[in-house]
Amino acid sequence: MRPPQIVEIFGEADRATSQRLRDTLAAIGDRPNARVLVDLTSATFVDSSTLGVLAVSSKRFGPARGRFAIVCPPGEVRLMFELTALDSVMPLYATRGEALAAIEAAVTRGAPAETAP
Amino acid sequence: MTAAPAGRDTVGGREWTLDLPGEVNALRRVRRLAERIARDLDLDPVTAFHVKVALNEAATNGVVHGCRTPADRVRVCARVDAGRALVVDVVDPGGRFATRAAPVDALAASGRGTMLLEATTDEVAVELAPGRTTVRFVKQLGPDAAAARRTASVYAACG
Repeated sequence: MRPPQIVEIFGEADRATSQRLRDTLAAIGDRPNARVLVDLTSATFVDSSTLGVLAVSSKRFGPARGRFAIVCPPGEVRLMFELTALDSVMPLYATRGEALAAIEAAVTRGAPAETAP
Repeated sequence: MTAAPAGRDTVGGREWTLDLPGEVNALRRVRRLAERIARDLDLDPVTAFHVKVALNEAATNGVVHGCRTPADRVRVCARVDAGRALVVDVVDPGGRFATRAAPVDALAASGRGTMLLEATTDEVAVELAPGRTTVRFVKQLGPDAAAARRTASVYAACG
């Protein structure tokens, strides 16, 4: 199976960039059996519209089937997920390694991926 | 066109102003303003982060919902009042009340913008007037924030 598509966000993500993010994730989602990892390690800021795009993508890909994961280490960007209570319903991982492992494990087992604490 | 946020000292406290075009590409300027305020006031990292988030969300709403033409602008006025609170007004031309139907915002945060504004500030108030919408938020500052609130209510009780 091909590795998951990685979407990496650098710097600040706000209303000026969220439409492009939405289109990027939608294009990936249109491919059958697509898997995507959104890496926010290099992001310095995300706004509510960016969170909204990620929330919609999370639902569309269905994290339970190991098709979508977000890398978000502790910090201000992670705080945005916590302030909006999204951290408890979205597949967030502290490192890319953990996210990839979770996606691969879900695919191998055919079981729902577990969200990292 | 204002190239950088302006800050100045006035009697009774500090003030900052920023005038930006009603386009999303200009929103980064309010985040630089937030950082400027945080430096000027030596805010702790959490307070600085909250101010940046609140300013960005309020300005985003002003641009997206309040501006309809390229000439529309959003104005930000921030000041510290005597009670050690940061008071920020974000004013837009009230485009949300255009008579024609507003376009559906497919990227609407579904309430998360409001959630963030309320989670990061102590007060939020919206004033609606013809041709002008003002969002005012207040952020108590410093370790004496709780004491400042108590002081304010004592003064209020004294009339």
